[in-house]
Amino acid sequence: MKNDNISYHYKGLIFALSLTVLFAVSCTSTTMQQAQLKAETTAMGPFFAGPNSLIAEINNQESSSWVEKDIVSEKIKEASLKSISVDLIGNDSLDLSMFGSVALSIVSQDEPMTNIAVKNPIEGNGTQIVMDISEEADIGPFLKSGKFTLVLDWDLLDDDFREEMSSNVLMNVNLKITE
Amino acid sequence: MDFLRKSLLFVSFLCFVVILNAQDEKADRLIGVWEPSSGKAKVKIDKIGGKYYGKIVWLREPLDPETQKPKVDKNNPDENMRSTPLRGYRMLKDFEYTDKDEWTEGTIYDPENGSTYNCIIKMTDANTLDIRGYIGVTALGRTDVWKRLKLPPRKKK
Repeated sequence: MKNDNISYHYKGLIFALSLTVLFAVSCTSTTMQQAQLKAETTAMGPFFAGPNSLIAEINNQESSSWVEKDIVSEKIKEASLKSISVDLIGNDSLDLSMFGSVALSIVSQDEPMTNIAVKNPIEGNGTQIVMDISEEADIGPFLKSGKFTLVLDWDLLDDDFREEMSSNVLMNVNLKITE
Repeated sequence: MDFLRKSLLFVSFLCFVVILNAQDEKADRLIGVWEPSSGKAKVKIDKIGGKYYGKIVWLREPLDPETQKPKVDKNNPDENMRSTPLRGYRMLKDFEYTDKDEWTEGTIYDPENGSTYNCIIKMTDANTLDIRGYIGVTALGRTDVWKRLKLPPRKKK
């Protein structure tokens, strides 16, 4: 009887130890990191008064858009937006006073298009603007896939017949990365 | 025999490319400017990354009567996005072409109540669309008929 009790407790101990080892192995450690993603959106003209879309196709598997070159897209577990700024580039005559508003969306093959930032109205002039970001948009799946499209919609106040328009998008994000 | 097999492979590949291009052409018939039956807006449908999206490009009543400013997405469930202007808003998103004159897997957004619905677009003829928004199953929805707009060419200043 005493031997049966010892055997019973011994088996219980082995079982508990096995569960502990299994749990420890299945847990992966993660780190939090702030990172910046930079992309150039472009479109060919002419451009007409109203909404005009500039597009950037991102493929981090071929050429990283991360400012921090050590970011590996597949290791991104979660991501959230910290801030987004947009910069008009390439032409001295391009100025924020030509636009009424700007909105940014993100889309990929496997994820629905999601609006992530807007600035409306645009006041003043200059070439750089900080946008109001969505607190609900989940950009993790897009960044993890490494392949997605940014769509920047500028609301032009008047027709403009330049051949091309470009804008840089700078996204500051908080990342949870698996090690 | 080897030559015959290679020739057959090449011809098969060519047929495949031709079929794919034909499919793309059929899918791209959706591209254009369309007007819902209410006449309240005009929606431009274009293609981004292989899927189709429709954005509002004209509003019959562009100003909010309360603020007298251009209408914004004031009913958006995401508070931070409520300043998004309605002109330029993509109310149709993520549509993919099937081989039955239908575009599926997309959604339609109603800015009047901030709700998003599943949606199917069916082209009944070259200038007419049945846009069916639904919840859950297609039987629980509503269909609206949209007409294609033929736009005059813009003149350069």
